[in-house]
Amino acid sequence: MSAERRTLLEVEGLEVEFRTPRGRVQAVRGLDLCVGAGEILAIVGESGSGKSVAQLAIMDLLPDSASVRARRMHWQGQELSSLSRAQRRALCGRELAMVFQDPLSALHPQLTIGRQLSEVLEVHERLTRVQVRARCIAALAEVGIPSPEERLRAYPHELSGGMRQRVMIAMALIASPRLLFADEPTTALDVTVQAQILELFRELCARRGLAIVLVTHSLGVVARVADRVQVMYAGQALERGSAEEVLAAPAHPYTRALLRSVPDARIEGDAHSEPAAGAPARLATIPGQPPDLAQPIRGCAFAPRCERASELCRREAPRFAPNPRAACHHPEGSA
Amino acid sequence: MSTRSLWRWPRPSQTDEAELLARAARAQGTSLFAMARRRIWRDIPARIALLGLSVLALLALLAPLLPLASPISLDLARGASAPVAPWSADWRGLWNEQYTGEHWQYGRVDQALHELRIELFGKRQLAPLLGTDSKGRDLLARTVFGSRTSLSAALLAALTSLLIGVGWGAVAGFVGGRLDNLMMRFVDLLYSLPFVFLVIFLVTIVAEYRSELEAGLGLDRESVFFIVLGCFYWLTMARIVRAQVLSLRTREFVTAARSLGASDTRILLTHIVPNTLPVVLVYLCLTVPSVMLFEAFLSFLGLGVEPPRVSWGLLAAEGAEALTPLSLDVWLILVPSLCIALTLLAMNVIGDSIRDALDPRMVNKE
Amino acid sequence: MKRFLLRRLLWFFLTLLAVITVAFALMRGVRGGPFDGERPLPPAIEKNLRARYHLDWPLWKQYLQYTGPLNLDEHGPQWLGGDGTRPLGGVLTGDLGPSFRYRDFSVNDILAQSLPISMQLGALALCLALLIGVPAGIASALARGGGFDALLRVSTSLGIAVPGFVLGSVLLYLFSLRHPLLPVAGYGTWRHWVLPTLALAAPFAAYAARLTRAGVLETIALDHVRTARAKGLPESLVIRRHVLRGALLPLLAWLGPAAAGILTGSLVIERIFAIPGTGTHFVNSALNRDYTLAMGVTIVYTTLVYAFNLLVDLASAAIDPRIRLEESA
Repeated sequence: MSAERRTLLEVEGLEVEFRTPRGRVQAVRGLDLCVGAGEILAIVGESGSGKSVAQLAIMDLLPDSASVRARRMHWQGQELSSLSRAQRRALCGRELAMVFQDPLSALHPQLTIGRQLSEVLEVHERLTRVQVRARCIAALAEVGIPSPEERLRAYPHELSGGMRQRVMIAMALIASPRLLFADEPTTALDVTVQAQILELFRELCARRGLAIVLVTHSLGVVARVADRVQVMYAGQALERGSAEEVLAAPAHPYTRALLRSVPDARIEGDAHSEPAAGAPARLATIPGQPPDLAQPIRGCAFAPRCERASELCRREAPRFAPNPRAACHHPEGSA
Repeated sequence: MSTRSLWRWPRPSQTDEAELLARAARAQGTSLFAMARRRIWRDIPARIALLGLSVLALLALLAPLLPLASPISLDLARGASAPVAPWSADWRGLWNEQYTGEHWQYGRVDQALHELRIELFGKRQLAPLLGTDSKGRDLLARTVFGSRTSLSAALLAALTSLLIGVGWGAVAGFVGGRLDNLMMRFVDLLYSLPFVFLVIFLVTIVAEYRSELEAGLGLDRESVFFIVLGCFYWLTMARIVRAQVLSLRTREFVTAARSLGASDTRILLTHIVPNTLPVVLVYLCLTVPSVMLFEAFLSFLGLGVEPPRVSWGLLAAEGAEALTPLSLDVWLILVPSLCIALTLLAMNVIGDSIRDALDPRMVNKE
Repeated sequence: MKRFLLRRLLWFFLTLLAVITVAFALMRGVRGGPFDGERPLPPAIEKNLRARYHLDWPLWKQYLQYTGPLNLDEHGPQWLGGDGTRPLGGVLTGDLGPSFRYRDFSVNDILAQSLPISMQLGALALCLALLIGVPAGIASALARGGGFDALLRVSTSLGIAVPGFVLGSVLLYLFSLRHPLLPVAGYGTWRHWVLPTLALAAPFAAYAARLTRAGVLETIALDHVRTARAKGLPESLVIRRHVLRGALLPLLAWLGPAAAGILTGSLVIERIFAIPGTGTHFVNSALNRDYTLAMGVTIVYTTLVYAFNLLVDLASAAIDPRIRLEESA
């Protein structure tokens, strides 16, 4: 954490449990994260790793069947769990905001874009009608929507996918929050639009000092925009550090395996990412399945699938010590 | 670490391969149906409803075999009598020996069942446990025999609506284009006709030609009536099925099947129609109560089932007429109404349960 | 919009024509007539009556006479051979013909007398059903799984499962016969309206509650409601603006068939409470083969339901911009 960035969000030991007919499912098992102003933290992991659930937990948007616990959940120094439901709801939109994966289902189909934008302002600020309208137009312009005045009366289904996502970003940022949670914001978009949205995130970060927590399953997205990254698996973080370091020289075997499974990935010092001369290239995969989250996990969650697993790994859960980069007993670079 | 990677997926040896195949054969993926079945069974109200309906269906089927009183035998001297509690002084015991054996025209199966009953029980019959009506007829017997008519009405209508509706909707949805347009316009037209009024018209007409129908087709007024009902209920079924088919048609598994060379008919029959099953099932569970209520409605107006036959609707209608300031024969309306209400309740519960069970969104929900 | 309305109008006329034709064919194409009744009439009188009601004409001529717009009898237009005193007639001009049964009255007269009563009953019942059902459904959905929810689910299941005439009879028994709180039958003061309206409204209230509950439950789980919360909107605003709009759409769609259902339900309720409405007349006319009255009632009811459905479609389109009017025509 560089000195000039002010820490906005500090979470320690986040645990989320769901009550289901099958029993209790542990979706997040002890997650730490912190984000500072103006930086983009990416959380990457496969489906079911708990990355989206963690974000929703911090925003208090999970259904009642979920129970959320954390040793600490500080927003700008204030403990979130000591606030009432209504107080936390008031923080949403004002200080913390979120954009979701599928803008078509996330936007209200029966209200105009203008209405959906203005109601955020109506709740959080006292402005005249004229001021509200001006702010809405400005918000749309800021996210790069052409002819914003005309779009105010449009409905979500009348816009293209990329525009809808921009609208959602505008809606999230219109009340000037400090932190934006983005839940796979580009997954539903095609590649060219993806690049534009990611570029937009970078701009907003630089211009407004906005902090962004970006959840994604794509390492490409991480490479493009993230300052720091956390790799999650089975509800826990396995590796964390600056995006450059983690992507170029991953310390945790899981991260390494993930990177290898990207076709054409080249990792320095890794002989296996270069296909053997003359041998037919095979799609690399990680053998096995993620663990069943309804069962307690002993030892390291990744051990059953890890090539470096030892008896110690199966017995004892690893922590981010002595290697602050990876929660692993045998990180890369050690024996 | 050695350069030979351990994680490169090793090609299994002969024995390993055999073991893998054996393991695959043992592992049973849970199909959506199996999951649904389990979930329905776990839903206690639905389970009770299913069991209850099965018992009812069994009783209805075997009605002539059961040691009941005759449903049409009159006892004007006795008149209306209330059901008697076992612990009261008027309790006359569970059985008596007064079976008269009167019945309306029976078909062959029912005739055989009836003869078997006489052999087994002779003149023994259950006492009027549910009381009698103003003409002295045993209410318990009439209720059980009435269930046959009510249930078969519902089933016939449901089946007719299923056959016509699914066929019509599937073809319209799958073929699309002008044929679809034409077929659905026809449905729209029929839909906007005032259903009830036409049925009433039809019923009065059918009454005129009753003798011809009975002699010629062996169908009584009731059967014709129920088939006619089914001919009205298929409209909604066709719409629902068509909507389903339209959404299924563009799904990927259809394109996949086509790319493997499957013909259109094959796709329609083996892929699309089975996938409409959940929606069809739920709608059927809703049609049955609808038909039963409508039959009751018509019987009340005097346009439904005709004496000497009985149905729950007719019994309820007779019970309603028996409510006067002079007589307190509440059981006459209570018993058939309760039967109708409970059966409908059961069907609704089952329908809800099926809908919840087959909704894929509910899989991961709490 | 104009095209939509025009298309609806055209469709309406087609439907009406189909209804008249089918009903006409059914009633006339079958043996037996309005005068084959209880008392056999002297043949001379019967012959006169038949002539008066044109029952001796060929069927196609009767059909045309009924649908109009030209009067084909002796009072018709001069160029058809009549004396010109009444050139127009038939349904197209609003003339529903004479009643075969009530020989001094025309169908229009009978309807003018009885229709307002039936419509009042129906409107009251529908309003009552919505007033009770919708709030109950919302409350039950929001308090899901609680005691109130369970109570509501049971009572709505019962409300749907009990036939209308049963409820009507039981209510009549309890509140008029057993404990004379309300009048037994007839029509007059406000007291006469209580029981019939209740009996007619009950199943529809139950259905409305269920639909509303299902609609709210389904909408509240949608993504855009989560977005609304993420924007910081207070829960009451989320429910009001984001949930209810979508949740009430299925209810609105149901209102059309519900209105039709109320009309048919009134047949039975009017019979039980002896209300001199149109429903009673219809049932009697079907039994007595009073063709013109039966057809007249059918036509009126079809028109009413059609108009109501049109209103419902317009309202749906106003609420949800994704619904395009041309599609629903």
